Amino acid sequence: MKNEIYNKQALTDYLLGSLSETDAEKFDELSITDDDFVNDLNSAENDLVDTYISGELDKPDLEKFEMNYLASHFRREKVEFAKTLQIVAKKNKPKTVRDTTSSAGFFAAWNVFANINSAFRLGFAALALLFVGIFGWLLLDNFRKPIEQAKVETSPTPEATIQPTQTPIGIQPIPIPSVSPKTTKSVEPTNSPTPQPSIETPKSPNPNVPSLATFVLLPPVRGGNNLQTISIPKQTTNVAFGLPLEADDFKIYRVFLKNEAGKILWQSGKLTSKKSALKVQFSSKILQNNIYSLAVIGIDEANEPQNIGNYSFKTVIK
Amino acid sequence: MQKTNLKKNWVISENAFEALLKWLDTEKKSDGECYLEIHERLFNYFDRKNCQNPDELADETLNRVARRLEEEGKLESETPAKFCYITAKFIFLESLRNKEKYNISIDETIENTLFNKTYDDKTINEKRLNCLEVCTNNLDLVNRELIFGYYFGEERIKIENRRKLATKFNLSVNALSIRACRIREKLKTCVEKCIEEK
Repeated sequence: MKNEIYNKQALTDYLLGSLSETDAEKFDELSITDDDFVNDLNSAENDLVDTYISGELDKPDLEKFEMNYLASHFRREKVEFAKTLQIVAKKNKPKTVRDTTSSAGFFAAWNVFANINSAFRLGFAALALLFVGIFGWLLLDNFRKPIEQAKVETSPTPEATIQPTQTPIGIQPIPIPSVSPKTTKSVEPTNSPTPQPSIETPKSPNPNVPSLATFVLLPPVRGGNNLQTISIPKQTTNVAFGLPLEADDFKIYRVFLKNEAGKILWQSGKLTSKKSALKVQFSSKILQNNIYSLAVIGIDEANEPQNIGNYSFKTVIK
Repeated sequence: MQKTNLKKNWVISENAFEALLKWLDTEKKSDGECYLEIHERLFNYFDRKNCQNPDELADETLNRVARRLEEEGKLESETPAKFCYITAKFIFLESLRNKEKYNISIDETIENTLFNKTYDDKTINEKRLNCLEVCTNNLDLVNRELIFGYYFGEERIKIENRRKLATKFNLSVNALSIRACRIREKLKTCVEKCIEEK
């Protein structure tokens, strides 16, 4: 009966937010009223998170996961917990299970090798080693290739440029399964009349590996032209913004990404500042070649929001 | 107008809460277990809808149900869970209308837990790891073997291990997965509590 209503793929689609509205509503109801559905959904959610952590999600699902699933702090916490569980599980291998690194286990995984004589096994192992060697050499060669330096538009007054922050500040980035080596981008002056952000971008030899571009926006200036231009390389999957605060008067902050029309495109959870700055991160898919602002509000002790300022910027996707 | 104000200021009494617990109880589960379970389901429902404070909305849903129960004495519905779902749908729509209100209210309890300020922080990661080790050590041997076996290995090896585990515990692969999921949920709760206490 249940398989007529849903299967594992449908549950995954539901969790990724890609079900039709009608189906999603049915699933919403089942997620509260049906015990079996709740069990299956929880199980599918754990599998989805584990697949994300192991880097096995395909690109479309990875994008949906980062856009939808990781939008919630509670769900991000599930990801963090799952990572820790995998670490602990690796350390505590039970006697009944096989290790992936065991060569005996490797052969035992395929029953076809069970009846093959040892000479053939050795031959196969030698061939496998040869392939591993070639693959390793190709991989090393690929890493040695010079990493293309992306360009960034910047201020005519270099002293006004804020340097990239090397240590995370405020809210931490959305977890990315594997982060490639980081390089600092070259900074070139342009004709922009306002102070510009600096940029730090990870470069990945593999286009499927998520990459992060980090920008530090200058604090808003009253009556001044605050528009800062940032260049985002096309291959970037996530963008992070450091937002220095002129006065760090609140324990809690929230940040809203708005388009030019003032529509909220993304919002942070509750943030705390570190070294008088906030850091936010979201998928680069949200941004087009356009003008945006990051509106910062502080939450006072009476839970009342206080407007701190807008960090406006123009994006150029390159 | 007066009625609206009364509803708005309605606070759940001990009697109303007990009536709600009794109404939610089923033959299989009682003593507040159903309340906790439905609260968790409501929490997840609001969280999947990207509401900023799913905990508050789940509370509000159950308060609203308790109020209706107190006002009307009994509630006509296929199941209590279905009535809760219908109420939750209304609460969700209300939350969309009052987005600002719901999005900026701060719940200190949540604030003090794992999120935002400590997210992915090195210290919290270490704490989480230590706590998880403590929590897994507190599991009984069967559950410990099951959870470590379930999460050990990668890809094909992991799948094969799971099949073996299912056979060993005389479970279907799906039942094994659900059991692992429950242990994982218990561990998560234990770790959250442990981190709060540290």
